[in-house]
Amino acid sequence: MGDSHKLLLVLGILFFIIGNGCSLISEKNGDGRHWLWKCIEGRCIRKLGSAGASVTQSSPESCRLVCGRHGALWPRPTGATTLADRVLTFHPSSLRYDLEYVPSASRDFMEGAIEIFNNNLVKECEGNCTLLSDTILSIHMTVNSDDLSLNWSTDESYSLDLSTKGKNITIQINAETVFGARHGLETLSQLVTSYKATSSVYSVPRIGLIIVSGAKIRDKPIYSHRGLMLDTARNFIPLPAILRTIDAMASTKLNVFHWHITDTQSFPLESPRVPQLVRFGAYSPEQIYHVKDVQHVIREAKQRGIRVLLELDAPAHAGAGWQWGPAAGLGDLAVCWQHQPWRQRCIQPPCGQLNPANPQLYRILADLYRDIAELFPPGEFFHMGGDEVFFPCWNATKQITDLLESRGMGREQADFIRLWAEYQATALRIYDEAAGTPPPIILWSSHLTNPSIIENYLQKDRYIIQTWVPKDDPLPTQLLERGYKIIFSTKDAWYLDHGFWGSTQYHSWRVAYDNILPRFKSVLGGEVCMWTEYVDENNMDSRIWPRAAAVAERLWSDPSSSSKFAQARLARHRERLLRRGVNPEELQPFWCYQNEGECA
Amino acid sequence: MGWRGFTFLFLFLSIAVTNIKSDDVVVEVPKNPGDAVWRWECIKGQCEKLPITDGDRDTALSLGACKMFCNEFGNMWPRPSRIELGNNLVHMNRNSFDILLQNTDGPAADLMRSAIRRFRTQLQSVIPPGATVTEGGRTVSINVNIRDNSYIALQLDTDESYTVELRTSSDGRLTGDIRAENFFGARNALETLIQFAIFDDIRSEIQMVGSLLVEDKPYYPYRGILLDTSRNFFSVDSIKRTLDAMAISKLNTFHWHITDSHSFSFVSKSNPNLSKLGAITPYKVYSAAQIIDIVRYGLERGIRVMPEFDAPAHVGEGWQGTNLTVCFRKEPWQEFCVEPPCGQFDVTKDALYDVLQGIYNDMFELFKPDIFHMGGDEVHNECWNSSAEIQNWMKDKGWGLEKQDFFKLWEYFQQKAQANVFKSNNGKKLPLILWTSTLTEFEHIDEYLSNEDYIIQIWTTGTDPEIAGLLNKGYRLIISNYDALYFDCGFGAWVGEGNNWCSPYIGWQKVYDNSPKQMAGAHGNLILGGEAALWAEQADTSNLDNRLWPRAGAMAERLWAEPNTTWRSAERRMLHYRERLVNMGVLADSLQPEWCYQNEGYCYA
Repeated sequence: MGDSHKLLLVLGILFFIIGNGCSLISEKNGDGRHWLWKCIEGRCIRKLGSAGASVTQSSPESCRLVCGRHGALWPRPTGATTLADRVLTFHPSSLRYDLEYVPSASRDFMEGAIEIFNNNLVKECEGNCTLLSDTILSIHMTVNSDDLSLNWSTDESYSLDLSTKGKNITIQINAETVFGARHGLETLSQLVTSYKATSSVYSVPRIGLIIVSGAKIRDKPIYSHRGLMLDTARNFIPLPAILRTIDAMASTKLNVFHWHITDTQSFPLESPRVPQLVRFGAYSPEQIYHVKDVQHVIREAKQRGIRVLLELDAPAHAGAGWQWGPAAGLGDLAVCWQHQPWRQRCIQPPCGQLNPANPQLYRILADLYRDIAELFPPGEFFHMGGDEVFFPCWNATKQITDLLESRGMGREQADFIRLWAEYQATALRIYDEAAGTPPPIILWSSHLTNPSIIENYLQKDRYIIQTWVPKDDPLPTQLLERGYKIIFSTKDAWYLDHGFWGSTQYHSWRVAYDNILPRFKSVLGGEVCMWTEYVDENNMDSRIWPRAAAVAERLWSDPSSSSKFAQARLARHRERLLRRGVNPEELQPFWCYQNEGECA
Repeated sequence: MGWRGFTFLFLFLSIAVTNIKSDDVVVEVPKNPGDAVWRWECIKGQCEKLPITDGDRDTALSLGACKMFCNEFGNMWPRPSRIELGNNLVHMNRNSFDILLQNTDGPAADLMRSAIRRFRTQLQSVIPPGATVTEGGRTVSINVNIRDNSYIALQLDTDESYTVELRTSSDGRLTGDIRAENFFGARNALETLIQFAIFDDIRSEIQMVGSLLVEDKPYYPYRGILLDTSRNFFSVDSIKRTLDAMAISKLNTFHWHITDSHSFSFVSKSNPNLSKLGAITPYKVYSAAQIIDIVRYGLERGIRVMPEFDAPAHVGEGWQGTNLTVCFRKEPWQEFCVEPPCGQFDVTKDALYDVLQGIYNDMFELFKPDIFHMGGDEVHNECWNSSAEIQNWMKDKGWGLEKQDFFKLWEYFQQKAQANVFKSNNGKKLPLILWTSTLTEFEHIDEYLSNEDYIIQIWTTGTDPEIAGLLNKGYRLIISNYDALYFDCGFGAWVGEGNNWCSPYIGWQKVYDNSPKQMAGAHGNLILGGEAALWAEQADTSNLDNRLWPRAGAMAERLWAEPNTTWRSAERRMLHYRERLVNMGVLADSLQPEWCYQNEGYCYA
């Protein structure tokens, strides 16, 4: 008998033993006792046991998998959810997929989603599943629609049924769209955990996968806009870090990657029609998002059910990249650039604002917008920024004040708001021309979105307002009352940069989780925001995660219960992110992870 | 992508631009595709970012070059005691770079060989990833003179000073000398030397300053970082990365808080059950071989790896079944300890001291410490008082159950444990460190602890009267005031609502300005140094780097140089130091937009 036969025999014996509920797991100490985890009233409680433990008692992860109503699921499903309390071992190579009931137009997408799902399983067992099993998983996918477009009205719902007969596990995932089906696979990956098996048979512990033996899940999101905003201008974020972030977003069913791609400090977005923008605006030639990079992000995001919301912030927050106007004979495209002392002209250095009085600016914008619109499908939303226009800058620019004077306008705040509104109207017209189909436009809340004047300047069928005021500010309600659609970025809960500068306070995951939005049809959802004055690729993971995951559950599930009841699942999800290569913040001593409910 | 990649980029862009016929926007195409766009010039003491024009291409300075000559102290971190910097950079031949040991015998020579290998790795990391290097340049030859080649054990009185000299010789070579009393000074010299090698991205070459003299020594002998590996586990790799970052910062003590109530991951030869029961998982342990490896790794970088065995409080996991602890996991925890899970030694048990002797022996064998940390913080009388056995033991001694009586009980423990420690040190004394606690209050500390045996580590605020009180009584201090040097502060609470107890987050500026000298008043000689603490309730391998760095570097300069100036005059060098950390693979926190690094002097408040 060859060695390979011996191995198979050994593994066969091992499976038999696990199947019988005896434990070969956990390091034993001298007196034969070892740690085990028992699910008691929804909590996994650690105990020293002297008798054999079942597989689900072998680790905090395996206990969590079947403990409580929502097990290890993040975000928790919004519909009926039942999970069996037993588990089976399986190996990733034993998965069989049936895509017969997926429309042919959607098969490529589903195959991509399946590849991601398979990779996530392998990552769950630390890259190499060494424990074999003869369980067979048959995954039947049913997708009704062949529509591959992703927008606010996309049906993201899915159902998942999992049942076991002997060594055969059958999984049925039904969804209206591929995006719902993708969410189903994400949920399925969370019904799986790794565990380590040691035995007297082999010296090195083997790592394998276990899956719950039965499940029935009905699920769909509460809000259709569930976003994460990342600023890649204050500091450049390399492509791999962006893709890693998108992977992590997918694990929490977030569906909008809001890419704040430019700001005063740098302009890293390549525009083939206006190459000067990156040449003068990128930190270095290595720190540029080329067209193919942006396309790659858009493609990878969509494969994970995520839309890319590109923001080109204007007319404020613009400087680097726009300096070359005078040398090219175009006049000042941006004004107040790098003005010192900066406090006279802007809110943070370097100063810079676009010059609405320069007709050449709009020609450049037309080219830039054309390059942007070509990246996206027709009608895809676009973020035009529009925050923190600093009037003293324009007021100190002769070309602008001359323009106001020539038109009989004054230099009061109202005059500058009018100038801004005209800039915005022109920019919108140019973008519409570039895009062909007029898309939904998103703007940050600002002076221009003041409820008393907004209706004069911004049409409610074109503009969606992203509010970034504190929780107790009446602005969102006032805008809702006037018929505007809203995306919430509550700054005293969802601004992840707070706590590291000025008098701002760090917002814990609990604060993020407990930020409840009003449930109106015109509340599209929310976004958690990562401004990067103090962040780059080195620390972004720990700033964003797992707090963004807390926001994801608020937006997907909008649970009536508070963060107190989410801690054990979030701690488990954090471990999942670690396995998938993200470096999330640690929330508590590992002792608390192993002793649920003890660190209250 | 290097600058050559940039060449192709420009070609591509210029084609794209000429295709636009419908638009009459005048587009300026670079005359020489591939030429760098930006140069830097030192104007009024700060590097200004300027476009390169044909006229100044030959004299254009790269950012690194400008910073070296424009910033104070040759852009060094931590700043040296004395520096004379030449005014020229030379193209340096990385393939003809010799560092010659004048004395090749003795244990210091082995350590130096390792330090030189490290230097060569650092030299490689000066080159940005993907950049193409123009080879050639001048040969470099450095002589290393170490007076005592047998000295390799770091002590509180070790001479860590050094001098580095560099000059361009008549035959065109770059020659230099490193002089130091011992290995520790000599390796500091290499850390200094590497900072004068830069990559010029305009000419794609490695350059070194053509003439240099640095004379340097530390202000304080103890410059540490504490890492708590009990609340959460840290991988051996992440600990080594921390030692690497400490080495470039000339920090010299890695204080390893290796045990606590939450886990016992130290594999004790004498008591293996402690880690079997107390490790977070069987795989999250520090074995003897790993510890020996880490201690050696530290020594090669001039760092002592000092263990702390915290006692008699802060014990718990691992001691199950021994009957040597009390109130472990007792609820409600708020009554018996500072955070869950509770646990303290039952110091009345004679058997405890046999076990401790074994653990101390194990630690001394592996760490070979010159100073030992005995912990001693946050003892809760209520915990001891919850045990009838302890109460009876105290009554048998004729003691009451008042605060003073529990001090006696603690003293009883400390004296027996101290005897155990000295016994593990071959019967010889060595300096012991204890945290500030109710026992170390200056009004009564001398009743319990002698100032010859004990160093006190301050973790209260920097304005605590205890500092002056202890100094007046002649105690030597290590400063870790939590309001500047606790790097765990500023995140969401892990028990209860709101943010953690010592919030808000402490910025590097506050760390930098935290001066032990100012706290010491007339007793500066009793301050051994300082230490940044990373308590790990909310840190693990995944966020270790950005909690520590670059803030620990701010403290490193304070402790190395104790400057009379504030963070403001250090800011530009700090930003450069942070970039060096990132280049060596440390995931350091970002302090500002990169724009500020490229545009000095514009990001002020």
